[in-house]
Amino acid sequence: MQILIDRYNPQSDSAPYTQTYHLNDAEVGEDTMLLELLQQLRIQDPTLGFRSSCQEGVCGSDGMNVNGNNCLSCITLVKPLGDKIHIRPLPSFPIIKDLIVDMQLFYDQYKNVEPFLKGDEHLSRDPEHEILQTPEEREKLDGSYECILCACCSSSCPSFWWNPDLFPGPAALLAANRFVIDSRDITTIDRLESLDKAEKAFRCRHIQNCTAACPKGLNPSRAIQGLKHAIVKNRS
Amino acid sequence: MLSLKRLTGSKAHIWQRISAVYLLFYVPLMALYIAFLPETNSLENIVGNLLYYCFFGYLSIVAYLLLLVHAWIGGRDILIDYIPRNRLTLWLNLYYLLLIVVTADLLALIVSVNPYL
Repeated sequence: MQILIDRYNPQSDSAPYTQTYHLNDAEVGEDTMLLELLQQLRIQDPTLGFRSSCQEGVCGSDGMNVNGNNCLSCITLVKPLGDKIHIRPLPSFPIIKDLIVDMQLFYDQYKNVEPFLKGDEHLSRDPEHEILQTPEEREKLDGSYECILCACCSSSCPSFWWNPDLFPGPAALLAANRFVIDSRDITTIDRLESLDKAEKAFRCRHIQNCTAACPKGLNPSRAIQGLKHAIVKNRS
Repeated sequence: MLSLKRLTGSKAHIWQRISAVYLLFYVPLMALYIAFLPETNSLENIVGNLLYYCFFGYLSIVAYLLLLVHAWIGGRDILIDYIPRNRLTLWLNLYYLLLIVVTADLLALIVSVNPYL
């Protein structure tokens, strides 16, 4: 098995390069995950840099681009990827080292949409008083809150590649929509108005790369569509 | 002066859809109208017939205005996506000027084919 990895260390390399590794096919089982393969390669080459933490698709730290698709290495099986695997860092982010990228822009955009509940202050101050939702209101949040912030969606979005400092990206807009549709949040109009700009929600062209890339099976494109409908409805 | 920060979101979104739906109905109607014109041997003749001889003239003027709106929104979105940020304001303004020049040119054509002048 041939594994090509795009490598770059800004502190020592003048330009990125692709390094080729070889692994015996016998070392790759039917249930071997890509992360295990990378760990084997790091035994061969201790200078290889990549992130991982929980190793079971929960923390979202090991997002990378594999054969052109963004995925989490810890929940991606090696066998279906074929005999030649090309691994690149997540697109659009500055490279810190090899497959490790600087996700500060992504986190900044997430922070900008204020991804937290802004409920009624009087009710919030009273610990005895629960802010209840009906089962139907709660059900609307399904598919919005499960995001693990791996950035597989945003880094597969051309609108985010072009304007990462202006366009919030699919993950941040999914989070924005989660609080817009939350019946307990009382700042819906403020949230919608802040996103009603050419470079915010309306920068999304719905090519659905984000939905295809999401390792948790979420649908940010549909959430952004819902957000746009809410903005238009709020305006009229 | 146009700049990225001043461009609208939902307003542009709504107008782009209104203009698209209008043009969707207008263009086939226009094609049918032209097909049944008795004399279509020159652009002036076609434009003159489209604009001055019946109620279709009003529909044509609305279609032209909406076509401009549609072209502006579509074009500015392409510019935002593909033009480097430091040159975006310049290109947005140039594109806006281009649409004004095209409008002036077409207005001149419309006036020149007016049979009542």
